[in-house]
Amino acid sequence: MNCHSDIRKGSKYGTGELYKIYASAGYNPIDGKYIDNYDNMSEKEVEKLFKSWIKANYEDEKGTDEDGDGKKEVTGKERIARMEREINRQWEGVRDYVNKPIEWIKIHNLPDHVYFNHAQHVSVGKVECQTCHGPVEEMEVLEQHAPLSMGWCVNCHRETEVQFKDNPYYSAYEKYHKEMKLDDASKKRTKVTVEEIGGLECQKCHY
Amino acid sequence: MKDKHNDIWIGVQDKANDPALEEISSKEFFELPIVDALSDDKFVENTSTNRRDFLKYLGFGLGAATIAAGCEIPVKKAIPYVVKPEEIVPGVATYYASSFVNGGDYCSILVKTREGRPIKIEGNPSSKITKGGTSARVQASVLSLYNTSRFKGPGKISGEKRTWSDLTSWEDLDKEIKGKLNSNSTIRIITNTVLSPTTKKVFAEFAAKYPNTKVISYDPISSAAILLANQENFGDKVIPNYHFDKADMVVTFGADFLGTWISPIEYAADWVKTRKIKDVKHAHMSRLIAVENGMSLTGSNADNRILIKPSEQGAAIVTLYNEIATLKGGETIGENDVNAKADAALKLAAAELVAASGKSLVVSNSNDKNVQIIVNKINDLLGSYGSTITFDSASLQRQGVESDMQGLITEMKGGGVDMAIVYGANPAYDLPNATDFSSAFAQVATKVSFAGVIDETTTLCDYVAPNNHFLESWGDAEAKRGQYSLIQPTINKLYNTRQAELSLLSWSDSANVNLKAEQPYLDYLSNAWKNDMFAKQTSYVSFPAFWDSALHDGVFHVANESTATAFAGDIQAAGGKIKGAGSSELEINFYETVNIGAGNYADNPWLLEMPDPIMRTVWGNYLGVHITFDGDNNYTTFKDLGQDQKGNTYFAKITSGSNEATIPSVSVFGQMNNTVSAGLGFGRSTVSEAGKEVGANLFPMCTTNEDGLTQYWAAVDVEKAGKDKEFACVQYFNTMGVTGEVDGEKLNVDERILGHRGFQGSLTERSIIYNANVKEIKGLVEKIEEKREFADHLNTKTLYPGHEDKYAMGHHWAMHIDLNACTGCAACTVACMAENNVPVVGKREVFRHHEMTWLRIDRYYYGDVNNPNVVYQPMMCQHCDNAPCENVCPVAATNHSSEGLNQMTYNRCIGTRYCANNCPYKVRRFNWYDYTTADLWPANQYSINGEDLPFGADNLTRMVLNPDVTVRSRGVIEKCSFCVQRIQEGKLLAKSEGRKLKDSDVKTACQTACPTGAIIFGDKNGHGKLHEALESPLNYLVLEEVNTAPSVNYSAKINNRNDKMDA
Repeated sequence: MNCHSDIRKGSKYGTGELYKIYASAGYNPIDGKYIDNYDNMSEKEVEKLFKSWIKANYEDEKGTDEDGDGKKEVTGKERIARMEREINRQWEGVRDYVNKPIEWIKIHNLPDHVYFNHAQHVSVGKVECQTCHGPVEEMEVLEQHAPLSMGWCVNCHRETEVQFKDNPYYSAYEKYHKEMKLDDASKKRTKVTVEEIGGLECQKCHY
Repeated sequence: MKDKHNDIWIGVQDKANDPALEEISSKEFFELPIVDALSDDKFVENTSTNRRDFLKYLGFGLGAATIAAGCEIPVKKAIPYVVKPEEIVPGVATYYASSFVNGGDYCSILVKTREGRPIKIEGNPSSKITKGGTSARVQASVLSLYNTSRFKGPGKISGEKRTWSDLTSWEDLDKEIKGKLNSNSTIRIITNTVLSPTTKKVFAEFAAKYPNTKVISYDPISSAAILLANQENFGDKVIPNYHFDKADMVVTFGADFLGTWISPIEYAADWVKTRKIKDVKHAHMSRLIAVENGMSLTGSNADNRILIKPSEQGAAIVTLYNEIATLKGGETIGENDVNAKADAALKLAAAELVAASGKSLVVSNSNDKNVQIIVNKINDLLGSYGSTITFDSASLQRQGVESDMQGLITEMKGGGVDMAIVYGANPAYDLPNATDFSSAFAQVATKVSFAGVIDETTTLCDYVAPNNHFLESWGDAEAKRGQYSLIQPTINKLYNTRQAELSLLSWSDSANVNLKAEQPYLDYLSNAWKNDMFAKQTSYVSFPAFWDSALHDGVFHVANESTATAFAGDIQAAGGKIKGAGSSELEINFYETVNIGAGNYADNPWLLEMPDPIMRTVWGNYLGVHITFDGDNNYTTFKDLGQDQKGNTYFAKITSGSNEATIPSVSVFGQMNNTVSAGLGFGRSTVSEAGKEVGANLFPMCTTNEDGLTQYWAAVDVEKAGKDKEFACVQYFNTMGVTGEVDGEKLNVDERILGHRGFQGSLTERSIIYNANVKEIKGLVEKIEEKREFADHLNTKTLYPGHEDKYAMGHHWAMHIDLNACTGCAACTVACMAENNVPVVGKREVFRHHEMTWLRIDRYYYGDVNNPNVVYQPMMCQHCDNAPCENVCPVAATNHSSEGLNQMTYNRCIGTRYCANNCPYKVRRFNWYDYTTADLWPANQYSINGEDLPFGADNLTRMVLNPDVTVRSRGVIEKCSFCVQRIQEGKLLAKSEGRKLKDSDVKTACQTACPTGAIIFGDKNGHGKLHEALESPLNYLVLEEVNTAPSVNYSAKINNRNDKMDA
């Protein structure tokens, strides 16, 4: 859940949405641990837990009147009632997700005839998440950053350098290794792009 | 045609240089039946498209395109696991060791699952029996899990009309059944061979509760005579452990041990070990003689075939025995005559067997105990026992004795049975006297079936307690004594089914199982293993550690000693009871087909669409008939049956007593005159969707001998009965380099068209198959060398220069196929369909030459026209480095990769089919329809065979699709990709682990499926097994002289034929 740790309490999308994830998996945000025996807890117990956390995270917005014009200050019992209303409102949104999966809206879609593998790009190619997904750590609502079009993919394959030297797998490409070792600086190869090891060929992605 | 290394033919027409075939071949694509089909009114009717509909579709097409263009992208939702199972990584396959068991058919397997659903079966290399090999049946078994006709829960069948009513719960069923049972009830459990020791334990518990219980076990294709003969001769009622790898000389009387007999995966792997040529200079191989009437898979792989009528088998075995006894100085027995040719050949065979004493083996599929006793005595005289046959680790794969079943029929008729429980058997279909069975079965008060899908016997039952599919079950198997394996579920139960063992335990109120537990049968099974198996080993001190290792490996082996005594038997008495040849004019041999067995696989579309290895027919059983050549190019067929000049064929009406059946006929080389052959297992009357109306049931024509054993032959009459308008035979669909005669000169058909002599394409002698006798191997090597040199000379020019650099670095994928190791079993064909989402198109589409298989096995004959040898050639995209298909594509949808792959890009293909026209290997397939409903437009979704939903359109069936391979839509070409998804996966694994690629990283589906290791795939630039295989001087490239530079290497077929036997 650490990608959401920046979304602070009181945020429009923050707490309530985040608690749905906690409710789904049984995660205690206060201790930073998964709750033991979560699936056997009664609804009452879960409700009590969540309400206490929401309360602990509740940030008073300067005690202004939310129903009126926002100018009138509210105090005392009214302020507490407002807090309880907010806690209940958030709990209502969360309760349906206790031990249930959350439907994520998939926004990065590729057609069925395209094969994409994260391990190839992230583990092997050492491509940053942000290269394709944009600055996700700053997005309150995630949006599609790159066009994910074929032209965009292909262009990246033209420009991106292969992690060539450190991985013995690529020793099969003897010619490039030889060229990299040339003394003549003008002929010496400085990098190998994905294109040069066949990264533009149809069946790298379509099969 | 005169060249002995290259004289091959595929069927009647090309053997006869038929002008019709030349015309067909000259057009490259076989056109006539399509014209026929389109002019066939019924076809238009079937597709229900008239002109108005066509306009409607056109209108729809425009409208739909507008909608598609204007509409927003649909929102897709992803639903994650709440708690992700540890072993599942989305997008990554998980493999579980398990076992395929169906009656006595057995294979140790690894089940490939993706996101929790099984999608592919691989062989388990840890098994000592199947050693990582599979068969077509094993490969196809994953599809049966997703059979839409499976029972969805327990039910009751009642009334005259046999109407089905659901039972609300298993408790209801248990209550009703227990209500009909008491400690005096006479109960009969009817099964085929049961391999599971734990299931037998369950039977025993049931029998303890209800003491009048008996288990009656039979096998539809029976080996009972072997069991009974071994009991008499060796005191052990068991199938012995055959060691085909230790035999230099094998004679088989009808036993199709490479295709169907007892344990074909095991036997094929063992036998091929003795057939591979390792060193050309000191070539040595075993010899195989098949004594049979119709060409079986084993017969097609044999060096010599001796033709006898089915009724002559006993006499032939006695003839062989007497000759061996004379040579060895043993007592002879009275003998009946066999035909003169066979008699002479058998005497030669006897001499060869004697010369190979201690290293010879004689097997027979005879189901006559007396005949098997003589076979035992022959093996005893030859010193086979202790070397090629042993009784340690004996096979348990056939345990049934059908005379017990005949006894049960009598017992049931008398009303003496209170309850019959049918466990994995279908006697109302597969007994020769199935009608007798059915009427006797009706006398039983309560009949319960464990069948998972509907069959003939289940409809006669009162209760159905559907069993899980084996991929949903726990269990174990002991296929050979001491060689145990486990079955574990790889998916949650799809329906409300229950493991049959649990039903029995529940009815016997077992104290050893808690039915309320999460996985009751797992507990029962592991307890059984704790008590029985754990003590048999010393590697693990704690049971959980032992259990985990057994479950992980899937197998557990312990040494097993023979308890059999030395041969003892009265051969005079046995010989005296063996009958002579029948006197009828025509005899038929009923055989078990490689694909659908005794009918228990008859509802599997992958197997139904798999061409028969010899006849090359699909979707049904066909009658094999004799062809007579007059010494030149003219031929006649038996009663004018078989294919005519246009490739049409005729139905044959078979009459045996009161039984009649009408099936299409096929002329088959090597079929003995005055005999015909046909496959069993078809014509199921009550069967799930795919198996309906496929072929004819021939079980009723089988007979029962005086010992109550089924005999798989009969005396019949055959007559011609009209033309088959949908003859689905793939024999001539993909003809390469056919020769014909013009002005007295032999030319290639395409040479006639080109009209240019001396042009590359106009060679009269094409390199497709090379073959030689092992004694002439030196000549063959020289010949191949010469031919390849000549091809090299022709190929100095290339259209595509300058790619050598790219191929020389990185990977250059290639394949090696050893034609000598290929037995033609077609496991690879089905594995390819499973791996690559190859659609099933149905009989009508195959008839119209629209079959979609990426990997076909071409069958060629060579040698003696009356008794030829056969060579099988697996043929798939050759991934030519000078590919003729690539440069004709107007949109570059097919092109070459730097790794030597001929890439086919479906999303780029516009369906001109120029590539298919230009492929000399005929391996490209066009999607004439949207066979797998990949498309958005319903207009493209025809139900081609009149079914409600096309095969593979149902969401359940689609669960078998491999998510790594695109499902192709209508209008695109497809073909073998060298399993590019596996190549990419293997490369990624090596990259992630930061190491060089090794052999085990990339294996194609056909390679892993092959039981004999005939296919090796790898990197030509690497130094693995492929590199070794590419060194053989027997290697050649198909059509090398046309300069396509293919990446598939074949090594020549070598036989060990003794020509004297045909004199």
